[in-house]
Amino acid sequence: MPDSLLASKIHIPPLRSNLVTRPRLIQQLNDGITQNHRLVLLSAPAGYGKSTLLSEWVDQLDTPIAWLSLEKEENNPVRFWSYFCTALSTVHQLRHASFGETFLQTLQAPQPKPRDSLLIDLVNDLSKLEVGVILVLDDLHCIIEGEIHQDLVFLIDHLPQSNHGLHLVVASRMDPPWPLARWRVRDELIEVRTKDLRFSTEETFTFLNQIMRLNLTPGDIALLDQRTEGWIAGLQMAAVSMQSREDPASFLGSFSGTHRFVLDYLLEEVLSHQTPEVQNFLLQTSLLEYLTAPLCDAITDRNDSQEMLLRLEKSNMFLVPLDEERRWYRYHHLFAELLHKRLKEAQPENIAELHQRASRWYAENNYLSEAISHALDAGDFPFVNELVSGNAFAIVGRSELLEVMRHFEELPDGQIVSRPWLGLSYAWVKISVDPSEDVEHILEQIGHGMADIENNPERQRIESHMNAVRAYVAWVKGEADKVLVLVHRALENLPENDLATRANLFRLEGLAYQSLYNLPAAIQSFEAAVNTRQNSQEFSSQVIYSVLASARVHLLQGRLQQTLSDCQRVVSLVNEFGQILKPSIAHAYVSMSMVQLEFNNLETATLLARQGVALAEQWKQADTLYAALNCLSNALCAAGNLEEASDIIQRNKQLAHYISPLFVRYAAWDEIRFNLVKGNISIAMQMFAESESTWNQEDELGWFLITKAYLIFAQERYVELLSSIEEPVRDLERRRVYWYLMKLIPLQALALQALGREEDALTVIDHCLYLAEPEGYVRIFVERGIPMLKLLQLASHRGIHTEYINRLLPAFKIARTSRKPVIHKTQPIKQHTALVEPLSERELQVLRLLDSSLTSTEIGQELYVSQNTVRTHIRNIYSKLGVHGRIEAIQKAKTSGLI
Amino acid sequence: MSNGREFDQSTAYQIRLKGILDSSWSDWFNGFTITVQGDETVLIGVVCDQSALHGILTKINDLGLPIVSVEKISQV
Repeated sequence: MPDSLLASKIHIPPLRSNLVTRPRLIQQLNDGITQNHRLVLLSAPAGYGKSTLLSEWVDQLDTPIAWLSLEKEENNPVRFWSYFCTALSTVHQLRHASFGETFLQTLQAPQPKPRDSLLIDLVNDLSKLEVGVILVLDDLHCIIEGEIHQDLVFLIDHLPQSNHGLHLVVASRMDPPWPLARWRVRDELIEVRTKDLRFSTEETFTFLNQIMRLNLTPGDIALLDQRTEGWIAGLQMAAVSMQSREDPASFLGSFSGTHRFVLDYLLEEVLSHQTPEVQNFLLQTSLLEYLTAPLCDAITDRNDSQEMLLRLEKSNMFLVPLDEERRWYRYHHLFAELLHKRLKEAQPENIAELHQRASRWYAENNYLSEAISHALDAGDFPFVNELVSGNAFAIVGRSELLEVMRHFEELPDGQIVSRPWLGLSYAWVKISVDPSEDVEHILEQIGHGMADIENNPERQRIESHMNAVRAYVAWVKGEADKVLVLVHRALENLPENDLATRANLFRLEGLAYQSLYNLPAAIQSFEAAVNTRQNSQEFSSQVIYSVLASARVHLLQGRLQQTLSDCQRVVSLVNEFGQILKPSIAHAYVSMSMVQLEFNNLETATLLARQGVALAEQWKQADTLYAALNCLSNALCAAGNLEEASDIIQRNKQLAHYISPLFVRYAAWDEIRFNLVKGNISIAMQMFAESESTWNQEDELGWFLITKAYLIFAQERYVELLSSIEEPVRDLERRRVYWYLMKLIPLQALALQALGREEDALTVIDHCLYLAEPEGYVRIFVERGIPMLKLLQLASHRGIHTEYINRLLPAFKIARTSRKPVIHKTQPIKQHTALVEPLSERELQVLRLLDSSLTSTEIGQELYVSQNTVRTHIRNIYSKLGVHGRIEAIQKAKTSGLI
Repeated sequence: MSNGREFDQSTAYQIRLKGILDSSWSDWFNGFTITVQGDETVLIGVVCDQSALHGILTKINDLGLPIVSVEKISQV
């Protein structure tokens, strides 16, 4: 389903005008809620007005309501329950963020808990409700997955039967596979069935004469009532037919005279009274699950679909609007079925073509699942493969991939392997959904299937694609060298115009180079990927992802400005062409945040990080969310908001377990560095020692190295620090991985300074400033506090990068509240504090006097200054110390060694 | 509980519905033949397994046509 419509699934359908009100049924439904039954069930085939009744009922209720319209895509348990919780969270009593969060997280965990205890979490969350809440599940018959039904039965059995709490109301075209008899016998079930929903003769009268304004005699009405037997869909169609005729009576005559299946006959009637143009439009668009004007234009080769759709909606042509803006519609289910059937009879030769047009439109607009679905229907398997392989990873979202997977699983068994392109597509989808899947056997089967075919270009092309799959598998396994080999092999026989796969392979190549820290080669590969697609006319999401990939390499190279520019380009491309891709570019915001943090623009960095987190949460890719959260915690930390940062770090620790052991290690190092910021050196040391057993050889370069260096520095083991990072620093500099380098060089300079090797310290800081200035680094200096301030001041006096240093100095502002002091024994300064801006002599005097029973007036007298002056001094003191009162100030002053 | 192997292969069924469908519906019902007998319609056709049969039954439910009987005819 198009992303833009996802909101409509949990949107309560607007009340239709011109309704026949059904007070009797409304009362029945009300009883179901007030009399505390376990379940309210509406079970009847299509066309009996279940949904209409429910929206009428819901409209007159006071109780908070949530709604979920189900479709076959919800047969995936994770998706089903996500929507379940999302729908419930529209109710404001459940709007707090943590509703259902535990439940959903455990559901998605690699080793989920046993189902019953899982659902108990949800039941517990629900039992905290202090009011009654109704959840309507519409179209439950779409759910055929047994596990979901078992879970729902469990839920229904465990919900408390009382006024408050959750009330489930279910609408379905057939009875769900639930123990209805059991509930019925205990009077725990309210049912509205077909016989209840049929229009009574009075209701038929109201509908035909009052609402549809046909002037029918009681005899006419009786006839229609008999013929349709109160089937609402049938009556609707009959009414529409009669409205467009001058002589309704003759219609009635022939209608009652035929015994043909009601709907069949009526559709014929309705259609035959439309112009050929409209007929064609209806038939051709009947293939579509969802209709929107541009898509209809593409299929029918017209340009007036918007007007057409509005007209059809107005004349009751069973077109249901899905959103307020009237951009998306769908046909009433039965109507669509009938139209589709007619299309098959009338224009069978056009059907494949229509599906292809639909597929291409969807592809161009980045609706991957729908594009694939129609391509499969069109039998255009090479295009299916292009769609899948071109979007192999980082598409619009994991749940969409699962939908795509379902398309394949619905195909008859033999088909996948007997068609190489389908086999390839299937392999791509499988590894995209679960990278640990072994798809080699699928590839082997394809190979065997092709054994008899001669070695022609087509076969070579397929083999190329097989190597592309293998390259991706190698990437996922972290075998970068193998990736390079396979990419090369795959590119050899790949036709020039297999653009999607080419771009994909270049991107893989870039990622492999990146992981080997061959950054210039990585950039080259990403640029090749961008160029491949930029020359084609259609817009491509691959361009966006390749630029994003370049941004990350540029960041590693320490090219801050270039990174910003790349990210801004990505954002504007998405805004212009592919709004629905927005969640997948969370990394753009994360990278921008990291750059702004380096510039010491803390507010901007925090804002960008929050944006990144929001998008990552939407996209539901755990590793992106991790990165975004980590970025946010860094920004918050820098701004002194240690509490929130701490919460995030704990959250990330949990999250890491769902991703991979590597992320668990990242989380450990992140927490260690956080403790260093807080001054908890011994805790940091302990954590480091504990994590020792999980070290990996490959971790040596990068964050592990940096964390280790920070820790050693914090312990003032300067000699050890210098010797341990000497080699890595050289290595990083040689490879130009400046991002990591710039975190280490300041430590070198400060260590040298602390050891009294002033000249060496100046040399190193000189080099550091030389590298930092063109890109505008600020933070790497500021975060090192007073010692760095002193060193920079010294350097400036020596004429080293004076201008740059002068720009840096104002950034050394006050450190915030929770920073514990770090005592530098070797520093020849009076104040043993962690303050970045020292108190003036005068302020120190006032502070000493505060530690007494003197009032501020008396202090003023003591110092021969006015009361106002004293107050100003006191304000400044509090501000610099980060305190809010006298006692706190004195406490802090004492612990910092100020007085 | 047995979903016997014998039913994994093509099986012929006759489904009797109340109401009249014309032969144009045959394709929609996956190639079942359609015969009208009085005010009932008889569908006769082959399904490859039980799931396919339930698929047909679901389509019948969608159309709202009452089922009079479902009978296995013979093994194909």
